[in-house]
Formats: sequence, C-alpha cells, structure tokens
Amino acid sequence: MTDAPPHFRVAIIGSGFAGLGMAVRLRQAGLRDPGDFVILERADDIGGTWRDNSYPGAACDVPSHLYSFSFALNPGWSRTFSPQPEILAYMKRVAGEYGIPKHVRYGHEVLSAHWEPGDNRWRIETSQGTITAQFLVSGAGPLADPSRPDIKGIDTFEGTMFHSADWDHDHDLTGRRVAVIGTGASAIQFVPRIQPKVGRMTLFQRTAPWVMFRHDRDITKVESLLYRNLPIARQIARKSIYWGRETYVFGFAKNPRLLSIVERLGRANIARGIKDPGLRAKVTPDFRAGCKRILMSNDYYPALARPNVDVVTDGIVEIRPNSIITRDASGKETEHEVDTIILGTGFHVSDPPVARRVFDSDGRSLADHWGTDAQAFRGTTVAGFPNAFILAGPNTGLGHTSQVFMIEAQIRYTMEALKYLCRQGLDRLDVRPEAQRSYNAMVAESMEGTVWVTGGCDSWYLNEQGRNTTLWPTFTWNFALRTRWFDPHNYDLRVDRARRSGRDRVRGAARPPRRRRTT
Amino acid sequence: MAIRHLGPARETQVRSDDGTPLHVEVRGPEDGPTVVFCHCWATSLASWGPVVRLLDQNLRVVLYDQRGHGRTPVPLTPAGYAEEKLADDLCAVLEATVPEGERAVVAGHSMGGMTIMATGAREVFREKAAAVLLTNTGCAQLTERTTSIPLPKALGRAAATALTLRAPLPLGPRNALTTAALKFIAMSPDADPRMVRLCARMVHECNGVARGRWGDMMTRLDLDETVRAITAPTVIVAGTADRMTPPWHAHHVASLLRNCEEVVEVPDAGHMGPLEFPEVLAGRIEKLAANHLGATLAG
Repeated sequence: MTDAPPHFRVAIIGSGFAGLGMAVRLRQAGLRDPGDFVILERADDIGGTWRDNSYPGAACDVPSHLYSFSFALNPGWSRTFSPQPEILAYMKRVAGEYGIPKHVRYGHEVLSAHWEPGDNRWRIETSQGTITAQFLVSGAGPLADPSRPDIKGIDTFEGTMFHSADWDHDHDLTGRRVAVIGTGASAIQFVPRIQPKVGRMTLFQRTAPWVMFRHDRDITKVESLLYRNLPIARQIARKSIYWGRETYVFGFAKNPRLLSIVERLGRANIARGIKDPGLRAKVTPDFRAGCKRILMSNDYYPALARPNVDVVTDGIVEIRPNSIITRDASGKETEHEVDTIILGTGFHVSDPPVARRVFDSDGRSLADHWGTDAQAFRGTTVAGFPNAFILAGPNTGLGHTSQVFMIEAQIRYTMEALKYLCRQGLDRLDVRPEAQRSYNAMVAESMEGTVWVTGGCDSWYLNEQGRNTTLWPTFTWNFALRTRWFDPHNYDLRVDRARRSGRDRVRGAARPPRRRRTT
Repeated sequence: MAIRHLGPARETQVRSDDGTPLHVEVRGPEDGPTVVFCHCWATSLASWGPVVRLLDQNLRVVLYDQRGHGRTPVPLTPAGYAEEKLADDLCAVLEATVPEGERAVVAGHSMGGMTIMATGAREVFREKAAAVLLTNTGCAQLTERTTSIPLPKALGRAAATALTLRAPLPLGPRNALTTAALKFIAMSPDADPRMVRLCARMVHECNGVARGRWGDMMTRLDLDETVRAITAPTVIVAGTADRMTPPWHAHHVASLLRNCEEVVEVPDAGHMGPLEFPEVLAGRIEKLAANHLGATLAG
C-alpha cells in the first residue's frame, strides 16, 4: 500500500507547555527519530496559549520561577512575574535545545481523531492530510479557543472588533472610543496598558473580580548572579514559591472563611486605586474571594479611576453597527457609541472544542460522552477512548499555582503508562469505567465545601449543573503523588500478539524506550 | 610584523540550529580569505587574541563564542550541551560568515578542535572548510590520557573528572592560588606570566554551570567516526608539556585523518597553544590560507 497515511507511535495535539513537555519526555525516553512521534500544531509557530495571547500587558500571574518546566529552570527571568514575550522565548529555547521543532507539523489543525480498534490506532484527519498513530496525546489546553459572547447584533458591528487572544496589533487604538467587554484575567492586564492611549474607554462588567496587589519587580543583579552560578538557588526559589502558593489551598479548599483576609486585601487594593465611592461600589465583588479566579494587578484600579474610563455594570442587550446598548435594572436602555470592541470574554473551558473532534470506535465524540460533565481518570484517561491521554484534562486546572506543575505530573503518568505497555509487551490500554467513576466520586467529595462551589458565584470553573469540572480540588502534591506511578489494575490491557509471536509489526515497537542521560 | 586586526570588530549574532544566538566577531577586510576560529573550554573568543594579532592583515578573521562561553548565552537545559550542538553552532557560523561559493580555513583549540572534529561529517563543513588546523586537542580517551592531576592512574582520572571537568562550582574572584593551579594544569612552567593571568581571567569569567556541563561532555567524548570523515587537509599542533591533552592525542587524530599534512610538536609547550605559541599557530594558519585559499599575504 503506497497511499497508507504516515504512522507514528505517538501523535501530540498542540505545542504549548503540555505538547512541548510531552515531546521532551518522549525524546528523553529515546524516541528521537522524526518518524517516532509528531506534534500537530494548527498555527505556524509553537507556544500555544503563550503564542496566541500577545495582547499588551500579557503576563503570567504565577511567578516565573515556578511557572516553568522542572527540567529547564531558567536563571535569566527578568521579572518575578515575567511578561508573555519572555515566556514564549523561554518555550522556544527549550524546544530548540531538545530538537522538538523537527517533530512539529505546522498548519496541521486536527479536524477529527477516530479510534480504529481493528488496526489498534488513531486515525487523525488534519487540515493537511491524514496520519495514524498508536497513541494520541492531547495537549490542547483549556485556554485555547476564544469564547465569543452570543449578543444580539454582534455580527452587524461596523467598527473593529477582536478578541484579546487574537489581538489586532495593526489596529491603532490612539484616540479611539473603545469598548472592553469582560473583566477577567486578560482584561485587567490590557486595560491599564491601553487606557492612556484610547480617547474613551467603556468597560462592560458583569461580575466584579477580586484583584490583589501583585508583588512584581525586577530580578536584582545579585539574585541573577546567584541563579546563574548556583543551580541550587533556582531550586530554592522554585520550591519556596511552590510551598508558599500551596498554602492558598487552606483558604480555597479547606476553610473558605480564611479568605476574608484575601477580601480585606482586595478592598485595600480598591481603596488604594479608586477614590470615587460610586466607582468603588461598582468594582467591589459581592462573592467570596477565590470563587472566581483571583486576579493580580497594581495598575488596574488606578486605570479605572482615570477620567476617560467608564465602568458599566448594566447588562448588554444588543450591539448595533456603531454602538452597544445596555439595559439597567429598571429597564431603561442606554446607547454607548464605540468604534472598537475588544472582547475579554475568555475561553471555551468547560466545553473544549477538541472534545468534539475525538471519537471512540462507535463514532461517538468525547463531547457526547461527557455531555456537560467532563470526567476523566486521574485527569488523563477516559473510558472508551483507548490509548488516548488528555493533558490539562478535566479537574486538573488550578486557581492558585502553576499549571505547568500539573501538566508535568500528567506527562509523567503518561510516560509511566507507555513504558509499562512497552515493557510488558502490551499494545492497548483502556481505563475501566468503574475506576473512572470512583476516582470522580473522590474528586467530587473533595470538592464539597471548597470556595468554588460554595462561594456564591458563577464562573468558568463550573459546568451548567454547577459542578466544578475544571479545577483540582486539593493540594497539587496530592495529584502529583496520584500520578507518580502507573496503576495497571485500573486498566483493561491487551497483549500485543504480533510482538509475542516475534514479528516486529511496528517499527521500533520491540525496543522499549530507555532513559538516556542527555537530550 | 605589524600589529593588525586590532580595531573594533564587526559584531553580529548568528542563530544556531536550535535558536541559540551565537556572538560572532568579524575582523579584517570584508573580501579577504576567511579564517574561522573555535575557542577552547572555559574561555571565550578572546583566547585566540594573541594569534589574531599576529595574523596577516589580508585575512578576514571570524571569531565566535561557543555556547555557554563569553557573550553566547548558557543553555537552559542539559540537552543544550552535546558535541552535536557544538557542530550545529560551527555549521551555523560557517554558513552565516563564509561567503557563498567560498571556503575558509577552520582553526580549533582544545574544545574548539573537538567542535571541528564533531562537525567532520556535516555537509556544510565539507563544503566550506578548505583546510583545518587543530591545536592541543583530542577526540577520545580524554580523561584516560590526561596527566593534569599528578596522581596514580585511576585516582588521577577520577580527580580530573570530579574536581576539574564536571565541577559546576563558581570559582569566585581570581587569586594567586587558583592562578597557580590553573597554570599547573593548563600551561607550561615557563609560560609568560601575562598570558597566565589572561588565561586565569577568562576561566574565572566563565559560567561555572556551563563549564561543568561541557567538562562532563568531554569525559564521555568519542569522535573517532566523525574525524575519519574529515577530508580537508589538516595540520595538527601539540605541546610536548601539555598535561590536559598530551601529544598522544595529536598522533591519534593524525592516524584517523585522511589528509593530515603534518603533526607539529612544540617543545616544552603546555595546553594553551594560542597563548603560549601564537607565532607558530599564526604561521601555520597563514600557510594554510596561502596554499588552500589562494591568499596573497601582505607579509
């Protein structure tokens, strides 16, 4: 068969932190040939969320020494909370040093992935042709696909409109009448940056977020010297931040009453930035801190207090070609004239589009399996979807510390599983439904009493039934321990008959990956 | 011989295959025959300074900092340290600095020589390298053959590995003790004190982490295969008092090469060739440029 699609042992979707981390571990395990594994990337560059979100002021709200790969500690961070270009450059350097770009197929958007039980492989249709792979690893994170609000007349708007994750850098905002819809993590970062430039800004707020003071500063020369010359200093910085952040769990998950301290800090941050009592009242949240993501900014409130900014808390009812219409509680409509709309409306988190593109052997998609209730075993494997791993899957998100930590834990688990299959001469794994059920019962139990479900707010953490399908409900080391070793008793495993009978069916299949010291 | 190649260099950055920005300096006439220099472990491109100063003014000189040295950034991950990466870097420099259709003399000292030998099988190298000069370098058995730590065989080898090669410790400020130790390990007893100080300054400026990682790479180095692939005419220079890479290495490399023009042994010279016998090296490089690049020398 000459027209057989190219076959890989592992296909990875996406080249963000998850995809890159997975690729590095595969290379370390000895899969070095470009034919061993492939990364399917829909854009023309690597970086995922950190490539797309290039809006002004984009930065991570977890300190960089923690928000990075454990195997590539960067001594060169310029600030405690590094800006997006630096994080993206870091990812590219790590990818380059490990030779990952050789494995990436750019412009290959995954359209569908079907499990073919007969051939024991995933058939993946991309925008540039078909490939097959024995294992599928999804590194399509939750903050990948921008969510656009469904507002009446949004398509009739005649000015410029773009989402913060798809920033139009060619559109000069100087002197414009700009509407910003949303006050989430992205908006509070770009609003202070564009406020001095724009003529007039109208900020449409549905729910006020809690915004904390951010201790952002340049890394001093002395620190930098230490990090460069003593690798242990980087470890100390990383571990201190990790354990410091881990104490937040006591507030979020164990005893939400502790969060009143956070609320007091939040109110102090408002008082510091805003003098007008009316505006203060508008931006003060009415729910428990932590229920929605806690944001960090020093210049958000001062920007709102500037004379060219209006904060509108009335609901938007319609968008017209040159204006936005809101209606207040008494039913009175107001027209706000604007020529630019920036959507800071977040991402499809609880309904990731990738789930609609992955199908089991009966042709049912992962999204159909899940309905509104995304579930996975250890956040990674889903019953009915053999040989597939979902990085940053259900209930692995975080509100308090580095997502990269969770992703690396999942990668370790995935690698342990792959190595187990290799060593034992197996070629298929499928998690048992009962294991998945009891795991999710455990997660649901830990979730009880946490601020995310008791805090009195609706957030992107929750699905339509109010179940938190996105966050990990307890300490992250707890998750890391649960994913430290592969647990074959929770899986249905299949023996690779071809290999048992001595035929080398798939190239390289008979060779278990070995750890090498370098690369 | 007048002092040439002194003025300001033309500084550029060359992106290596994996994106590492390499610091490159070009000196001399833009249209002259090119000589590319690879410096040694734990120093920087400045270690070739004494040789470059003696070189004929008609030659175009390309110097670059190996990764983790001088002004080229230190790799982020262990994967950034490998002989293949050194080869990638040299190929990138050759492609970026040697004009289309022309060739260059490539000179390497110690780890710079290993860089060249690791590059031997690359297409770019075959195309761009007209002749090669290797000084104080080896391609295999580096810890086995070294006599830099004066202890019985296995002990000396272990000490060389643990104390000097792999140790990622920062050296701190330069002092008489470290300078003396460095002189004992790397240079001959009758080396010029100014050159000893220059050497010590460069080694102290080198990042300890990068030094340890590269040292670790050298303990495992075996380049016999790629050395056999070098077809360009090669001159090998060795110092008879070199403790780090004793003359054995020069003859071993010569035995593997297809086209070794000569092996030069410099009596009583240590490991830091470009600092200890720059006139010998400058002379050989000029001769290679004249013979293989058709360079007309100002004399």
